[in-house]
Amino acid sequence: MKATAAATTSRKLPSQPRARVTVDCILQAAESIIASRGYEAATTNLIAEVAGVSIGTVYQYFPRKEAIVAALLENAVINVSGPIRQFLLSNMHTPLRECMPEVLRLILVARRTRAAIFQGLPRDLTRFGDDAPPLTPETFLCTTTRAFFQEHRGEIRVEDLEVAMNVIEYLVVGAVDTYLNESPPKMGETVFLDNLAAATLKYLAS
Amino acid sequence: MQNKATEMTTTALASSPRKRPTQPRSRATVDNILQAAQSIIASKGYAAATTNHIAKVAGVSIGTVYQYFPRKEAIVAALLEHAVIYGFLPVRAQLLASMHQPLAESVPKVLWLILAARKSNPLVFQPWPRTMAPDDADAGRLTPETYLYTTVHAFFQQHRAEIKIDCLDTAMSVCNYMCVGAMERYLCDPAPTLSEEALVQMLSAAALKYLTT
Repeated sequence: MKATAAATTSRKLPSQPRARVTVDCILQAAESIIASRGYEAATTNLIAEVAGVSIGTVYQYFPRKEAIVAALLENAVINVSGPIRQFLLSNMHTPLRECMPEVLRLILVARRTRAAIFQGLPRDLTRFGDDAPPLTPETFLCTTTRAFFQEHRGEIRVEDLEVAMNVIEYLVVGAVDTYLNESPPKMGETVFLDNLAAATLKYLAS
Repeated sequence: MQNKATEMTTTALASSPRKRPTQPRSRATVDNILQAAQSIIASKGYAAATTNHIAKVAGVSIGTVYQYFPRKEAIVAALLEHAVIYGFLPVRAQLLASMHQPLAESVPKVLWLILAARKSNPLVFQPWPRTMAPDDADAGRLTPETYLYTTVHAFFQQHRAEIKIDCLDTAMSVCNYMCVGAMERYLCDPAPTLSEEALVQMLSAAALKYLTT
């Protein structure tokens, strides 16, 4: 466990503006390779080439490929969670019927924008440590989500709130990913989101 | 445009088996190759399953492997096909037996079998390297959804009267997205507060309410 933690940690943290730009280039190169050619194709050599830096520079910041992927995942989770957290916090007292469609839309946008990270990485790489839960937007947002569910307790008929929250997370994220994976999609985005909103509201409130 | 078309044809050829086994002995050879590939992928991952390694574990020469499969991707495609067809037979049987049962009775049974099938064939549902999927292999790749499409469609039509959603195809796809998607998320990170039984019960409730209220 200690070895894994060390192996996925960045070697040197960038502090100067130029170093930060270099790290951004490396991360962007890695994400674009994973998106277009898959995780296996993203070797450190290819990442260095696409980023326009030497392989030595890559190794200066990241001891190996897994460390690059860990940094990418962390970035992506924090980035996409921001707008969702903001929306949940400012809608603590809005009825579910009114705010649920927008929550679902934000989740769809987040999963589509960073599909390479959320769907293209081997599962074991999203865990840091044997017993740690995977790093996902759901785990990152769980305190806010729990508060959101508690504030809407009066509207929710499912007895166990924790169960309701788990089921909704599985159901929404699972449905969105399955929908995004389909090519061509069987329905338009609006129809999909309307139906998913109806389904989640019926599950929670009827 | 033309390039893309040629590329696709080549890929389709490259992932189909070269020769179909007909004699019992050659079928046994193919089974050996497939089992070897499965056990290597399960224990060491996709990248470790080279044709050389597969041949060694199967106890056949590399020439024999190439006699049946032009490349590694063809072996994996055959594995997936097997897993889908045998893994989802019980689901199809349950759908057929439930054609005239009310949804409230049949949905939980069907979902339970889908979860069991997905759980016992993790190989089929893990994300595949791009060389296998989705772009080039999707067209030819057999998924549980394509395999079961006709039966599920008939099941929804038989229950038309109970279903309040206007467009039956939409209802069918949305149920598929929700149930299969949720199961996949659950299997890769099961919440300790939610047993498999509870998950199926909750997903059944969600699907039934979505369809019938």
